[in-house]
Amino acid sequence: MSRSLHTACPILFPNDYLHLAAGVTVHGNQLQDTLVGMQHQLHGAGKLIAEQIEAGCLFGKLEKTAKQHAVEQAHLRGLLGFLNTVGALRIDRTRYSQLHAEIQWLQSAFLGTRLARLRRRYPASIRGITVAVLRGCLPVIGAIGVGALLSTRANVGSGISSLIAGTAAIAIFVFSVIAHEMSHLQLIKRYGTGVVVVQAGAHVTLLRQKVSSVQEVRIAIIGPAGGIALCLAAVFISVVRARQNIAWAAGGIAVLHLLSLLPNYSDGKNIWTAIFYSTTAKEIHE
Amino acid sequence: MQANLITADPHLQYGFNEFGPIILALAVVVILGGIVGAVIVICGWHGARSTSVDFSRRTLTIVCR
Repeated sequence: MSRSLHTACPILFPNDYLHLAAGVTVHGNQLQDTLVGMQHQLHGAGKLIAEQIEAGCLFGKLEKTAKQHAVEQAHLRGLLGFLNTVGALRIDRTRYSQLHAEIQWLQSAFLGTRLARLRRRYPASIRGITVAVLRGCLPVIGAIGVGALLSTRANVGSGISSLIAGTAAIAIFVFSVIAHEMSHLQLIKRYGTGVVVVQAGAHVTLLRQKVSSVQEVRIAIIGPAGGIALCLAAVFISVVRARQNIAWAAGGIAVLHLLSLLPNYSDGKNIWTAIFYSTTAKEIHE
Repeated sequence: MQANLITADPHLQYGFNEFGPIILALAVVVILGGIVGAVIVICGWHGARSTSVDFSRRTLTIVCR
């Protein structure tokens, strides 16, 4: 049984300046990822294209190179999609292009075509995790904030100010996600594998080397456990301080962490895979 | 991954250790936003004196100010 690595090429414009993320270099026919300790094999014109991206080039120029070497658009986008999936692709673009890309992404989401978002790579540290989580949670933070402000109009529930409850919910949510990811990260580091944080939209992912099935299960469980522990601490403090609404919010967020253990979703998917499929090299191939 | 131009290192684990429930959290916020929207549409900007949801009867009760 094989498990696919879903690659996703981001929205690209001819004037986008492409280059590789720090720690990713081209050596001979290999794309070396020193932060994760990986060596990906380049084939045919893939080496030339990867070297061009490493040196830094416009996407329009890269398309011309691909055309000159009879590389199909689908294959070029396959390579760029792979680089984006592992957070190795960096794109410098104008603010107008950034806005254009966001509009195109929203259109694709609305139409159900699901264009990929640009993935960003962060170092495996508390700072890296915090920045990635804050970027990932920004839409949620904004939405909770606006919701809390507007809910003063709806007067949902009673008693405590919606604004205070909303702010507390944002803080608990963000800190619990950081605790969740830091718990994963600490155990992964303990197993001695290379790891980086990859963030795409609202998703924060850890890119790393494979470990044994038992270690995979432990890594998967420790994250939600860390998030739930922080939420329970928040529930305890809220109950002691008689802030029932905040206690309910923290309890709800704890349930969200627990839901990440559902099969075929997030951490639960990892547990399922580790238990039922052998972690051999075959798994990663499509 | 085999896409002609590159093959992924077989030891790569593109982990599923991601916090997907952010999407669920967004859904909760959308529900709350929907209730607020309904209150503003029904009661105007003055809002509601109280809003309660009865899940067993599947009713949303809004008492305007």
